[in-house]
Amino acid sequence: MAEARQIGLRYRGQVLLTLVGLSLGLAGCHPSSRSTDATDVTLRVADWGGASADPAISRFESEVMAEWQRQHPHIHIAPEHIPGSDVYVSKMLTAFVAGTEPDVMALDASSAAVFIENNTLLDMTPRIEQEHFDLGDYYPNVLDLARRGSHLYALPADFTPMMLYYNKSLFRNAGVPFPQDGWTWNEFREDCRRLTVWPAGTPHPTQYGFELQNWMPGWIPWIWQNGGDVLTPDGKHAAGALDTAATGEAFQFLYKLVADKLAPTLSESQAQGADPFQSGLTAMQISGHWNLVGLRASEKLKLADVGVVGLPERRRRVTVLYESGYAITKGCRRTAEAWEYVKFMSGPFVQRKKAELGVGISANRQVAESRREASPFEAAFLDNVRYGVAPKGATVENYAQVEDIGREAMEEILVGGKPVSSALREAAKRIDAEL
Amino acid sequence: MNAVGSRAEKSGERNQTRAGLLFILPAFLHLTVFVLFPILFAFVLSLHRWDVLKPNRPFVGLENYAKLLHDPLFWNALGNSALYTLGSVPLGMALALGVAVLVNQRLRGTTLFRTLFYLPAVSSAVALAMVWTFLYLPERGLLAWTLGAVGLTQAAQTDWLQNPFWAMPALIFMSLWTGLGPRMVLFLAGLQSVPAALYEAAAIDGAGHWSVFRHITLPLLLPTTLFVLVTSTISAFQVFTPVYMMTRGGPVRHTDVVGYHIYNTAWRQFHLGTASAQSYVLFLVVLAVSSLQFRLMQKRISGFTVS
Repeated sequence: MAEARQIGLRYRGQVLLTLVGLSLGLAGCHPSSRSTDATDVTLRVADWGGASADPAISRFESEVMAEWQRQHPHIHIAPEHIPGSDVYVSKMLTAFVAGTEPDVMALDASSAAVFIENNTLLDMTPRIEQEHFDLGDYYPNVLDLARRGSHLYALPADFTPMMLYYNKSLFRNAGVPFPQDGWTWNEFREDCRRLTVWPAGTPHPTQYGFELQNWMPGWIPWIWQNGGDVLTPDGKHAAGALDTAATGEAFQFLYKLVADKLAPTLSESQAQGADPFQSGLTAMQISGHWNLVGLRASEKLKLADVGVVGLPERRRRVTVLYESGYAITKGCRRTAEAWEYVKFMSGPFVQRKKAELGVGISANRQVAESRREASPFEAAFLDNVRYGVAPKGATVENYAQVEDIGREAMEEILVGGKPVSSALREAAKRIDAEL
Repeated sequence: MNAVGSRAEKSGERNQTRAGLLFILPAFLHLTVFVLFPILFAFVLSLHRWDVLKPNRPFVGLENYAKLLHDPLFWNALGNSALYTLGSVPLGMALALGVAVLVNQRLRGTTLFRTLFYLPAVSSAVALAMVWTFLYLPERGLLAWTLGAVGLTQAAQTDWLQNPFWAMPALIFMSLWTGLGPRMVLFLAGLQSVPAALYEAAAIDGAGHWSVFRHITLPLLLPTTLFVLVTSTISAFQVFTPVYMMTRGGPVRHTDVVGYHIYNTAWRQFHLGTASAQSYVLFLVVLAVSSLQFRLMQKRISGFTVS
């Protein structure tokens, strides 16, 4: 899942150097699956993970690997972690061109289209039909993120609807009742107003209602809630969607939160040097289930003080659904073994472990529902799954650029002081030139 | 005897030539594969519509170049690069020369200072960028804290890297420090090659410190200065790491320099053809600027030695 605050040590890309790597790769061999023994097989598996400070995650990984090795002593897994979600996509795409792609790759719904549309992944349907593999265990809207017509390109591993996190202590201190599912934009704004604390003599408030991160995967649901969108339904144009009044109103609403000092400016958030929600600067934040992992490790904000609720609604109740699963690459020469691995990662053992250790929501409906009462958060997440809509990146190939331009438009409004309508009109023009 | 000797000599020469060729072979291969080939291949790319994942890569001639002429974002990037270069090169060189003069004094501890000033050059550029990101943090950064401590509370609120006006100056200011080491070392070498006799003669003639610096040191440093100027300009036009790490071209493209713009075109948008054309335009700009610098400085250098 994409992480907003990840400050990875990113690869310094230099066009010329990478070009060489690319051309060498083209001419080179295809080191996909290598056998160490007549019967031993090694699968290369890529994902965007890295070292994690959370002991639950390391425990999850080692227990999963041990169980896999117990079930399949002759199929070894060579993990390839590429930290940073945008770098991961670039790196994988380059690997496909160079013919050095892994056998199995983690596929994020928000960037699935570029891999599926470019014909890099294996259709799993024949194997599913052959084995009468039951897909009924999965949430249908989660499974469909990697489906094109009758073809399925990934089995889901975990997912999350984007939700609103709130700090219970700050709500209590301000005498504001906790938000309830089905609340509205107006109630949200009013709560923000009551949660903002601005002592006399300080240059700006010392506590805010909400934190608006300029991270498009986080703010896209606001636009949908108001009946707007970034692209037309066919995913081909921004004009007629991004520049409409409904979309503009959503931007205006968010802009006003910052302009009216109910949310910190990007600089003030930055000045925290830490997550403003965790440090208690802001009372509310939008994030996914993964946020719980960070909160569990947080020293300032105790998990017992955290509440989770569905996003406030306007014209429709909707949130965005982020998912990740495992896909088999077309170049994989050990598809039978790879298929076993994908089934395993998406199957009951791994899914149950994931739910028990609280490192994600299981995409397996039964497992997920069985955890409903396990923590105060799970029920809220599960109840919001049905309002979840696929991110456009699951179906629009060039969506990464749309997100870049969208982020710049928001920056122009928030930092550059540009009127919403002209910022969006220009952004729509730029996107249409790209698509 | 003679004939035998010359034959042995000849075969010795041949052996020497062969050994020499063998010695340069690794470097030759490396340069060919990793420098020469990519440069030529990038030119081929620039003549095609070459999207990484599309099997169809039609030859489009100069279309990629023609499009750049009407691409305001590319012009913006070129402008930003020019601004960065104009800001960081002259200031950086002046600072490096000043520091070089200081550490050239025969005083205790200059070796330590030389090392300290050179340290950024051997540090990871990524680590430096992260350190400076923290230094520039509003309210909590060292810079903000210092400004606040001397009573400039308004300035301490500034988010240097997110402010459309200050982001570029902040990058330039940082580059003065990160680029100091290599420039200082070059100037130091230049300073030490000035013949002591000239200084002695000047001292006998009663020249002051400033006029010695102005009329002896500076003119004799001209070749070094030319070298530093040209290499600094080239690397300033190619700046990438701090932008990638600290501002990502923002806020609102105010620090979107050409190096970063090319990277985005190639690896976010996957338009390798366009990105290669941009690289060649950058190459031509750098070539033009450095040859202009060469010509202007060369005139002054030869003028000085003749008179």
